[in-house]
Amino acid sequence: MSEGVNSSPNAAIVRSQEHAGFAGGIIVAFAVITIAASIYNKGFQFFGPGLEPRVIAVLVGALGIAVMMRKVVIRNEQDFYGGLALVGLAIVALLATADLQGMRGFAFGPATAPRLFAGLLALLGGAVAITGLLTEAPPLERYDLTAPTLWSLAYFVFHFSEGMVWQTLAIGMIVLGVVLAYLSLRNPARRQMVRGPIFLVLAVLVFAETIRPMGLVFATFVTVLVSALATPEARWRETVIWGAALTVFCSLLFPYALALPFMLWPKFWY
Amino acid sequence: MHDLIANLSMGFGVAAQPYNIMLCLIGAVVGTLIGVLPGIGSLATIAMLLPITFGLPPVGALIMLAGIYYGAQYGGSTTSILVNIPGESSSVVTTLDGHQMAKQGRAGPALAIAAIGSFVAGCFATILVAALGVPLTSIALMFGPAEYFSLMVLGLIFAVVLASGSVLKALAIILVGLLLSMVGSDLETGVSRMAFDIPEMSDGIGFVQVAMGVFGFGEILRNLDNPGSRDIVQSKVTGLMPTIADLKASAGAITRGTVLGSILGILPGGGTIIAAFAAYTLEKKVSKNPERFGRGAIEGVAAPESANNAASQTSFIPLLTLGIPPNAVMALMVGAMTIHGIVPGPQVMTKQPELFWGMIASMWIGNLALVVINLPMVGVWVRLLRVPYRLLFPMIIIFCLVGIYSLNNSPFDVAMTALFGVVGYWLIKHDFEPAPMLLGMVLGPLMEENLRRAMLIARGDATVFLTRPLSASLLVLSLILLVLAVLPSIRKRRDEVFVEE
Repeated sequence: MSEGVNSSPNAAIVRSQEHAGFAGGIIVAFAVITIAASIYNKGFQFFGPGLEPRVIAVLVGALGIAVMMRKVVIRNEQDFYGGLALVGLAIVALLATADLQGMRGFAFGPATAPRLFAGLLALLGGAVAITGLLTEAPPLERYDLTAPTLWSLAYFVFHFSEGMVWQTLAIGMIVLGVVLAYLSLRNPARRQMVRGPIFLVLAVLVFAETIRPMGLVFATFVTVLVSALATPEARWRETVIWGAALTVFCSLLFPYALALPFMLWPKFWY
Repeated sequence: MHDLIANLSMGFGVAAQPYNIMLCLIGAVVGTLIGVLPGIGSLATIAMLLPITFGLPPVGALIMLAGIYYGAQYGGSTTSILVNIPGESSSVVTTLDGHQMAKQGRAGPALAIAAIGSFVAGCFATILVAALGVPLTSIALMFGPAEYFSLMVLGLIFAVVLASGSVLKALAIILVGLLLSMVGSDLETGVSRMAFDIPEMSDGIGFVQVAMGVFGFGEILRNLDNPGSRDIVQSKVTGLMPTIADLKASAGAITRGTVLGSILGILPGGGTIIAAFAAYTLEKKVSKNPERFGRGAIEGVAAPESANNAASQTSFIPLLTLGIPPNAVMALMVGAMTIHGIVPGPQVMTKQPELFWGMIASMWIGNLALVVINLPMVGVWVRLLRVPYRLLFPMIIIFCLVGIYSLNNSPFDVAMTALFGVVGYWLIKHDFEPAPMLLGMVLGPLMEENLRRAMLIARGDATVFLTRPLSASLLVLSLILLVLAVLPSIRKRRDEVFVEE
C-alpha cells in the first residue's frame, strides 16, 4: 500500500507528475460543473448572487489546468488535495446559501454566518493547498473511496429527490459504484486497499435499506455478514454462527432490555 | 465552605440513589468493555454508547455517561499496559513504562497503580470541580454575547494549538465543523439553509451520526488497513496488588500528576493528552535515576494516569459553568445534554442543582466503581483482548447501527453515518485531525447566536469585540496563542511533545 521502499520525498513528485493529467482533469471538471450548475440555477445570469463561489471555482479551475499542464509540482499530495477539497466544500456551501437573505441593515440574515465561515474556509483551504505545493512530504497513502462515496451519495439522491432524471442518476451512480468495486476487488494489487471501505459502507447502507421493511432480525444478520467481508480473514462458517449469535443478542437487548420500539420481523408477517 | 459541603451532600444524595449508582456502575463497566478494545478511544466509545442512555431520565443519563467516560479512559490504559496499543492518545505515555512492567510480569501492579492513581486524582478533582463551580458560574453571568463569542474563539484556538499537526489544517477543519453545524433551519428566521430540500436535513446534521461515522467507522476502517499483529502479554496476570515499595514510590508521582493534570484540564483543548505527557516529563525530571523510565518504572505509569484522569475530570468545569466544551469528549457531552433538553451553561447550576451536583458526585462514585469492579475483572479484559478483530468489528458496527437507528427510527440517520465514515477515513488519510471538527460543530450554533446578538446590540459595529475589555483581552490572548503556535522555535518543541504518538 504505502510505498515503503522508495519513500524518498521525490517519490511524491514523481507520482504526482504521472497522474497530473488525471488529477488536474478532475479538478477542472469540478470547477466547470459547479460554475455551470450555478449559472443554470440562476437562469443564465452571469453576475449577481453567486458571484463569489463562481470566482473561487474559476481560480480552482485555473489551478487544475496548471496541474494538467505540469506547470506546478505537487510536492505534498496530502495537503494539496486535502486543501482543494475544503475549497470545494466552501464553494458548495456558498452556492447553497446564494439564494438566502444576507445582511439586513445591521442584523444578520440566515446566510450571513454560513457565508462568512465558508469564505474563511475557502481562504484557509487555499492556503493548505498552496502549502502542498511548497512543502515536501512522502506520497499519500493510497486509498480509493470512489465506490463507497458513490453509493452513500446515491442513497440520498435516490430517496430524497423527485423526477426521472435524478432517479436515473442515482441508479447510474449505484451501477457505476458496483462496476468499479467489482473491478477493484478483482485486481489483486488493489483488493486489500478497497476492501474495507467497500464492505463497511455497503453493510451500513444495507442496514439502512432493510431495517424498515424487513425488521431487526433480518437486517442485523445480513449486515453482520456483509460487514464481515471487510477483512480478508473472514471465514464463512464462523461468520454465519457469529451473525446468528449477534442477531439473537440484538433482538433481545434492544427491544426488550432497553425497551426501544423495534420491529423484529418483516412487515408482511404482521 | 459550608455551602460546598451542603451542595456536595445534596449531590451525593442524588448520585447515591440505588438506581443512579447502578447506572453509574453499568456505565463504568460497559465503558471499560468498549474502551479496552484496541484502537477505540474514549471519544469513539462514548459516541457508540450514547444511544443507550437516551431512554433514561436526564440525571441518570448524564451519570451513566460520566461512568462510561471514566470506564473508557480506564479501558484505554488497560490496553496500553497489556497490548502496547494505546486505546487513545492520552494513554500513549502509559505504554512506555506500563507495557514494560507487563513484560516483566508486573502487569497486575501496573493496572492497580493506574486505577489507584486515577482514583486519588478523581477524588481531588471532584472537590476542585465542586469548589470552582460556584465562583466560575458567577463570572459566567457577567458575560455578554461579545464575551461569549470571544471566549469560544479562544477555546477553539486552544484546541488548535494543543492538537498535534499543522495549525493551518486544524483551523480549516474547525471551519468545516462550523459550516456543518449551520445546516438546517436558521434559529432566528426558521429559513432552511444548505439542506438541499431534504426534509430530514431541516433539523440539521445530527451530531451523533457525525461522531459515530468519523470516529467509530473511521477508526474501524483504519484498523482494517493495518492488521498488524498484536503483542498481547500472554502470561497470566497474577499478583494484582502492588507492594508497599511500589506504593511508596508512586505516592509522590500520583500527587504531582494530580495537581498538574487538574490545572491543565481546565484549559480548553486537548487537556488530557498534554497533562499525561507533562506529568511523565515532570516525573523524569524530578526522579533521582531517570534512566529507569521506559524500562518499567512504576512512577511512569502512576503519574500520567493520575494526570489524565484529573484533567478529564476538571475539563467538566468549563462545560458545567460556562457551557463551553473544552474538548471533543465534552462536546459529545453537550450533544447528550441537548438531546435531554438541557442547555449546558451557568443556568444549569441554578435551575437544576440536583443535576449539577449529582453529576459531580457521580464522578467520584464512577471512580470508586472503577477500582472496585474493574480491578477484579482484569482477567476478563485480558481474555477480551484475545478475541480476534474479525469478530469484534462486525459487532461494534451492528451495535452502532442499531443505536443510530433508534435515535429517531430513521434510516436516513444510518445512511448519514456511512457518508461520515467515508469522510472520517478521508480525513485520516489526508492527515486532518477530526476532533477539532467535532468541537466546531458543537460550538457552531452557540457562536453564531452570540455573534449575531453582539452585532445587533452594537448596531452592526464589529469593533464591539475589541472595545469591550474582557472580550478584547480574550481575543488578544487567542491571537498570542496562535502566533506562538506558528513560531518555529515553539513549533519544534510542540512536535517533540507529540513525537511518541
